Amino acid sequence: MGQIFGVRHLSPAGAWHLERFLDRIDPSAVLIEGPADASPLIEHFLHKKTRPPIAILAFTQAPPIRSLLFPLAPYSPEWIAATWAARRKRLVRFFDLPAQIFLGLETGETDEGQPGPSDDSRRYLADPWQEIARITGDPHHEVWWERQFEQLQEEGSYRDALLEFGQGLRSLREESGHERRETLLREAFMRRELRRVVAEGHAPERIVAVCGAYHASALRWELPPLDDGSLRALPSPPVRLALMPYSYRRLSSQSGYGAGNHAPAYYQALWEETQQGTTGRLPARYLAAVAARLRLAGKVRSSAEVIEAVRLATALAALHQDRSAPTLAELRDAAISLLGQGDAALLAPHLEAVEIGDAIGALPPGVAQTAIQEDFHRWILDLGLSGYLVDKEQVVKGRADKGQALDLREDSSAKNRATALRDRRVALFFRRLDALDIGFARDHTGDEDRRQNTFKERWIARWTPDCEVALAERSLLGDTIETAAARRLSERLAAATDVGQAAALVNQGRRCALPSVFEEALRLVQSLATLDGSFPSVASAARELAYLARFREVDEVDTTSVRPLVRQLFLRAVLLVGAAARCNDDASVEVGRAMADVHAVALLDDLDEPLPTDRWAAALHALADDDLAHPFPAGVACALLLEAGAIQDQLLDQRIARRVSPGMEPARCAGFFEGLASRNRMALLARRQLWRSMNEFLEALGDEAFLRALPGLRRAFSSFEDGEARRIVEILAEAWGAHPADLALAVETRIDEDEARQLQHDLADLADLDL
Amino acid sequence: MASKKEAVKPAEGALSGASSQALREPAEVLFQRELEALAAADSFERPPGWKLSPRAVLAYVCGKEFKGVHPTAKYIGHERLVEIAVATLATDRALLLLGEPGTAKSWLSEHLSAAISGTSQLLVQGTAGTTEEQIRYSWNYAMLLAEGPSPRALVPSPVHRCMAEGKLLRFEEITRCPSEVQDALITLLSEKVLAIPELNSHVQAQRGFNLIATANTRDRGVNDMSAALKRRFNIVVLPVPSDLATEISIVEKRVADLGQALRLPASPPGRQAVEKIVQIFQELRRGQTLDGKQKIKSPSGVLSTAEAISVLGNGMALAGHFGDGTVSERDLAAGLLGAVVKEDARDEEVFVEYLENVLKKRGGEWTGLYKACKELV
Repeated sequence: MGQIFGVRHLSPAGAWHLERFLDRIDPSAVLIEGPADASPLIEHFLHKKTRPPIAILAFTQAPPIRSLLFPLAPYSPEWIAATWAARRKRLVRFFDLPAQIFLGLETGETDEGQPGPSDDSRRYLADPWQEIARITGDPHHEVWWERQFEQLQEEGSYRDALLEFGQGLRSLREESGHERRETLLREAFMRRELRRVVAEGHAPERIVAVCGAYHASALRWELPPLDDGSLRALPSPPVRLALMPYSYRRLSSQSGYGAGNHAPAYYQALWEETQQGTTGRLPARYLAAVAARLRLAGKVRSSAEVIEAVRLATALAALHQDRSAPTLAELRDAAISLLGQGDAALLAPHLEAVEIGDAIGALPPGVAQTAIQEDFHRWILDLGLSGYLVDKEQVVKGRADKGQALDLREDSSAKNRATALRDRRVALFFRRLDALDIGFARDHTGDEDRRQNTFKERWIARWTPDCEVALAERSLLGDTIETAAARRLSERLAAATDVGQAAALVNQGRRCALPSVFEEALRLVQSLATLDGSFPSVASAARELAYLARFREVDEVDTTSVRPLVRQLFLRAVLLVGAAARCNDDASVEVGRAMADVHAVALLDDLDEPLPTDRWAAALHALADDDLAHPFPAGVACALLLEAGAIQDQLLDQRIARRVSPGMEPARCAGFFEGLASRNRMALLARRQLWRSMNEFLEALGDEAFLRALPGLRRAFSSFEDGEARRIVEILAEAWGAHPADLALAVETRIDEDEARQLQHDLADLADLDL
Repeated sequence: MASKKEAVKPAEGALSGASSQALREPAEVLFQRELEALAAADSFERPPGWKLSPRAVLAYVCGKEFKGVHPTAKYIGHERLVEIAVATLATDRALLLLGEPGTAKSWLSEHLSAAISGTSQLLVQGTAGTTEEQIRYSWNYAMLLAEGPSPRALVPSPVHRCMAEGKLLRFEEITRCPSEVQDALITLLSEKVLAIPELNSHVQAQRGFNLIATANTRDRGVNDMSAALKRRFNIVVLPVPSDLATEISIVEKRVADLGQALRLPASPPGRQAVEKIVQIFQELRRGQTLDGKQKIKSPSGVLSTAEAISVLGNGMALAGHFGDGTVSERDLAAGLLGAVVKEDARDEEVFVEYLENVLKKRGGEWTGLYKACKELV
């Protein structure tokens, strides 16, 4: 039944043997295993701007979205067959089950429950070779495969060997009933297509059919083809097919089955060497490349070490099989032992660069763009952003700050509504791209801008080929940027487990002007708020939503429904704070920050109904008096009460004296002081009692205790500004009876190198003290 | 897992073969029968000077079936690392085994040299006091004064002998030697010649000569090797066993061996005791419970597999001499505390925390061990 050539996807040796086979047979028709309805796409393969890796993408247009991704690298046998035939103007077709039918098939039960989009690709390109590795006992089937098949053998041997293995595998492999039916259906369809080509007048001996080795033995005349009736009976949902540029990095991330390749750049090198007629140079090429990368990173590696590494790799390979050339596994081990001097972690990034590489495919403009890519370019054109589609960082121009920032308000002087809202729409576009993780533009709005107003945003744009790849991949999520962003955020919502994450998504839904996401997220916040017992996440949710409630005009989303939620979260935070403050050192910083968040919410006065701020104050008082609480949150509680004017001087002095006094554990005193000093310093400076207590406490410390208090104290004091420090000096001078100017001089004189070295020596044990 | 204590220099008798009173027989004596059987079955090509082919060496060390011979496993775990080590020696490169204390560096080097050269006793035990003479040669001074420099007055070092006889040299704890002593190896390894200017002659290394050095990663800084010397080695880092099953099988096997060698009047601890000790070691080492649910403080010292073995061995000794011959939880507790709290008193707090927060909560079959430990702290 034609000349069947069994291959494995992404196999350089397969590509090499296949090319020679094609030259020898000189077929008039070439059939390739791949979705039959993707055949029209082959014409783009030869375009001078097409450069693999590329991928054929098929996806259903109606939910549930199912998709199929078929990547092609320069060393894919399928790619070689298609370009060989297209170049010679021979008939060339994909002849496996059309994607339209495949994606309409019932999926079998999988272990993970619901089959996701990638499972369809997995089924389509399934790699039965894994099973053999299990039998031969190799550590990984790739190792076995590379040793068995990628090392060049004489012409002709490859095809026979693979045919035999495919046959053997069929008897070994345990397919589920479902898998078996699917395999048989695909093979029946392939036979049907083969017969069709023969009926079209091609001599069977001049037809070459390229398929997975597993199927090769099933393409025989004796077996029946798929008949018209059965074909018509199969469901076929509407499916969109497109080509997309692909990258080696993505290819490697999908290894483990036929659609991926764990080391594309290495296989590319293998392919290039194969074309020279021998793979003997490959070990030297690989190891020299690793050494070169190490040298670039400043690590000296001599050629002698590369030579020794090649020798070690060869010896390792020989341990397994005489006259076998090293595979990637041996090369990697040799590289680690010699070039990495045993340190695998040091070498990891360099090995990755050499094995995976950063090659990115390309397609001619306009060819086979997915709907989302078209939508993207429509936006770009509409908003006049074409100038940013270059691989260079540029600040996106807008109306604010002399063109350096976007002004989200409506421009009342604009001629029409579209231009009046241009900046806002640009920001919206970027936010949605951001939600989709397409690294085109990144938010560069500084904290200063955010504090001052809510209408100014800064963005920096940079277009890389990877953006295009990512964009094309997002077509699985929807046909437009908007629908895709909404779907992506819904997916994140489904995965959100704490209320802080959910609240962040509420805000993101608002920022991306996606009302459906916004409301879905709000509902989630509501349900999680009652369950989530984590104070920091409740506090950050409260803060996030309270902040959001302030936007009334700028965005399209209605925020009134947020306010009752803010109240609910606030109350919950108040109830949780006491228990949360009884925490360890690691958590205390986060608790302190979360307290500041809650306090910020308490200070907002533009909510319709006032918040129960008296409860908050009471909770802070209780916390400040709680001896089991970590001293840092206790300090923060005092600071917040002081700021709100809700603590009497006498009470504060009493608390300070109790927490900061000789005999207390020094690190705890320092922690309390650090919390106290975290805000409203001027008010603190006015309190002599505080400084007197500090002074007494410090003077009473022994050397060792002082060292333990030092990290906390240093953290607290380092945030004081020069002017504030001078005030402290004055207060201390008074306490010590010294002249303020002398003391200030002593404090402000920079320490010289000897002193610095001495300090470094004395304090060497304090890891968290950064001098 | 050979600890330093075990690598005691054998009595002179051990070299000649049979001395049943030796505290610990060298590998080539202990496993003489296996080595002979392998040599007889081995039809692969042997590198010059090797007693076995690389594949047979691999089979011997990893305990793989080899042409009908079933050697016991000496090194359990990363077979690939042994492959790299054997391939290194076969390519005539020196081998450096790096690793934390107690990761079977010396053990592996002993078995490799026993299998390859037929002797594991040509070794230099590196210390801060190792001198260059110990690496090159020294003199019998009485004879030197009487006759002047002559080959008879020369006392060859292990290095000298290995070169002349084409054997493997073991260099233990190389980073503990002063750097100038280490540097004596540089030209020796590249030229494969040991010059003896006093006699106006030299020793040429015979085929089969090579070097296996071991060094601790913990004390790398003591006398870090120079780049020039490092370059002459292929470096293999031996890891701490990462999964429970591997470590359990290592410990179980070695504890049983230990009991036999020391003739302890106790039966080896049960599988359950081994599992518990290994699990405690792994959890403290990783800083979290095995199920990953709870974070634990790690003690400052190293917790090697060798120490897990010695905890159990110690338990056997206690049970045998002072108990009823079966290892009880009380026999284990003392050793366990000693292994965890070594250098820093604060490690005791770590251990108490672990006891209270993890072991106590587990209850059930852990209760006995928990109580036994609690009595001690």
